[in-house]
Amino acid sequence: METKDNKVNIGNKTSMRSMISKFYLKCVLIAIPFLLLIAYYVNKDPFLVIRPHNDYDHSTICLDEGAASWYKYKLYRRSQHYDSFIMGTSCTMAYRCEDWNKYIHAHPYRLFGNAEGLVDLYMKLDALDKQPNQPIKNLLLIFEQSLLSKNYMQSGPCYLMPPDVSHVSWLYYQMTFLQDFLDPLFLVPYLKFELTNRYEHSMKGIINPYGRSHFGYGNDAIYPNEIQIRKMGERYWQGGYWYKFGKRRFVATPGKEFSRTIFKVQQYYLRRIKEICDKHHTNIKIVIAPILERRKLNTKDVAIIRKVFGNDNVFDFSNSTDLSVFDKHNFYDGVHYRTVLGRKIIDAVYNKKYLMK
Amino acid sequence: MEFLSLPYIILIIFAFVLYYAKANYHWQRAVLLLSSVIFIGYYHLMYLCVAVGIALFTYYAGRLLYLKRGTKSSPYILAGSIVALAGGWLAARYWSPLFPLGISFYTFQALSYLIEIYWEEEDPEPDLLNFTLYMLLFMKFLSGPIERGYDLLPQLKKAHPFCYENITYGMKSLVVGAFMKLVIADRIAPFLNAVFGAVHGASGIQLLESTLLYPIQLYADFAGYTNMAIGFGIMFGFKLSPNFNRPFVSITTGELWRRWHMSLSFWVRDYVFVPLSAETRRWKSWGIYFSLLVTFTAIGVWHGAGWNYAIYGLIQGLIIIYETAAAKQRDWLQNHMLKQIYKPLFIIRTYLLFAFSLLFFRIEKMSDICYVYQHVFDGVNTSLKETNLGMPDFNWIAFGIAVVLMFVFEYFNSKRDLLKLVTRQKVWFRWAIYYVMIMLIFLFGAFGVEDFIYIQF
Repeated sequence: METKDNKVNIGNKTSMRSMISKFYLKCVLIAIPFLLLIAYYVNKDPFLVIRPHNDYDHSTICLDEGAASWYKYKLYRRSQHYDSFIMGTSCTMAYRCEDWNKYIHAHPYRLFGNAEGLVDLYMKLDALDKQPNQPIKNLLLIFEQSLLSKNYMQSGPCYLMPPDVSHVSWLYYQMTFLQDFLDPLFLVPYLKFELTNRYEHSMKGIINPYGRSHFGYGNDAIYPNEIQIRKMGERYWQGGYWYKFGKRRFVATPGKEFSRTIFKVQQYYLRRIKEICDKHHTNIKIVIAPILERRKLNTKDVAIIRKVFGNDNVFDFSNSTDLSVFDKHNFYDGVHYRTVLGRKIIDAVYNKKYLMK
Repeated sequence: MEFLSLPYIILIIFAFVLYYAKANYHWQRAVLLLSSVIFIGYYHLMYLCVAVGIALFTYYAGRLLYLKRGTKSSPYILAGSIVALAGGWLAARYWSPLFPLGISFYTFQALSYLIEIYWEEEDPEPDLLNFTLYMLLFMKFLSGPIERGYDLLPQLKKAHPFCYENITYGMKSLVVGAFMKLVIADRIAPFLNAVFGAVHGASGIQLLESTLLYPIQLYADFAGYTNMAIGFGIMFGFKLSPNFNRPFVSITTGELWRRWHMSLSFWVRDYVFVPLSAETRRWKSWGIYFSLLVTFTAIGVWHGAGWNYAIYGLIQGLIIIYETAAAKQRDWLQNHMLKQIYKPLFIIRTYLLFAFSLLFFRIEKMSDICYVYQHVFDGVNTSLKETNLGMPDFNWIAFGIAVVLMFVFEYFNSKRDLLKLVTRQKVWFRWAIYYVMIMLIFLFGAFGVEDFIYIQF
């Protein structure tokens, strides 16, 4: 009887153990594809966010430029002693540190972000302020209507700033990029490019076909359209993009202005920016960027900016009286303009040559 | 250590493997006790000391109550114990610089245990370790459900052999909870937090939108937590009490509270409302109204130290009193209106009342609450684009689909247990569902955003 009971128990135990083993095996099987993908992601670090890198200028994919330029700043800040910053959206591409430095004689750096908003810009400035021994001697802020209209911190893998800037948790930050990596809309073109090393039109916006996107310690931009202009000359403004959108989008609307953009939240952040500048005795210059269709920033908005930063520090090129500013040869598209115009604007700002009212 | 953190995942894996290494009652109890101690102590050693102190106090108070049953001293012992427990809880809530997590939940659990012994509905638990585990059990420690002794204690007194079906069922419940928490609640949380954190900077449409969305965030957060707690419970062989039963299909606020945070609602019903309405029965309807008002104000005050919480409870009480008084008119409407019109109309009415009263729950400063009420219909500041609250369009689409999926799932789950139904499907179909769910959570979940909302209570 005893023997029989023992046998039953042993039998039960054996089946229990096999059931438990089966369960663990299934758990591992479920996890394997995810673990493989995550291991690949961690190894490749395509967004350059997991560990520090020595090069943020070349990347396989279209990066979160805000994060990349912050990491690059941190990489070189000790050796380059940055003390002056150009901040704003991708429109800052028109402003070269070398050109700016002729007027300020400092150590400039272009700290920009994709489609940056006012709150993102403030967060970055606040993070700069909190860096140990970080002077902010000069600040060139490039404002435009789209930047001022964003009264929130942007999220998502194209805009999210590192935790020391955005104050999001490390887990949230890393998961944002990991999730984007696992998104089939990203993963499929990315893996295809990694396997074939061939760029296809379907990879647009995901894979960076140009290689280098900025250069030098100042983080100056390399805009691939400049190469196209050099190749094509006048034909650049006649064909392709310009032909397609010419009549519809870039009809000049002189005198027309945007509706009000700056409300309580924006005013709050403008004042906070001013407070940081006051703390560092920063020489601040604010450029309100021109756009090709000559639509100006709302007059009341400009007045608010002038009130916060002072009349002498705000330069409204969206309302410039010099029509050569709006010459299409100065622009790559409706909003992005070339360094030739950037140089002209810097010169106007620092030599008080009034290209604006 | 919250449910969706790496330390918790490590703890649960270790606890699970050890728990089923031996299907022995003493061994399993030791594993659960150790895991609970680590879980609570990881937050703060003081939290563990307070929780153990309250467990010991309740255990011995229960023994004493049992010994003195039927004597004159018995009501005094109960009253003294209630004063001590409630006083400790109030002191922690209102005056302590460090509010011990979960104290509101386990204090209520302790109170119900003592009252049940006093009412002679239950005998005290003789084993101190069993009782301590009943109080500290980690899956329900932080935010409930508030378990009754007669439900949970018998489950703690036996060994739980490895049951494949139960464990996988629990894991499915976990996935449902994680989906609700990560894909719905945490996805929208930062954007609603931004609005409620700076109400003066938001436009009318943003205030309105946030007010209407907040009940969904709160529900997905708390019900998501509860599903996970229940899932973990099932994985370890326990059946915890449900806390939600599709509250947004309620046609009255009274019904909503029978479907929302049920373990708390039923607790106050059994230990506050029923005794109070019995005491005031000679006042007839007024006795009921008075009891309702006290009960719901108590629910409000349970949530926190602030007038806003008391007003939140008071509003619920007043609405339910109105509903009780107007029951005949409502019945008349029900009989004279098409069911297809009456039901949705009253569901929307109940939701709106709940959403607008929740402002007192969500916003602490009374001046901010008044500001929201004054400006909620102010319209737009710049353009309709601001209705996205800063959340990318793609995320809105994902969020919207997830909310619809949640309600559809709950509807069909109320007819038939969908998780069991999945178990009966062919292996390829089951695994496809598992992968799709995991991928959905990975792709659309917002990780590391914030703690569970009810963790603060």
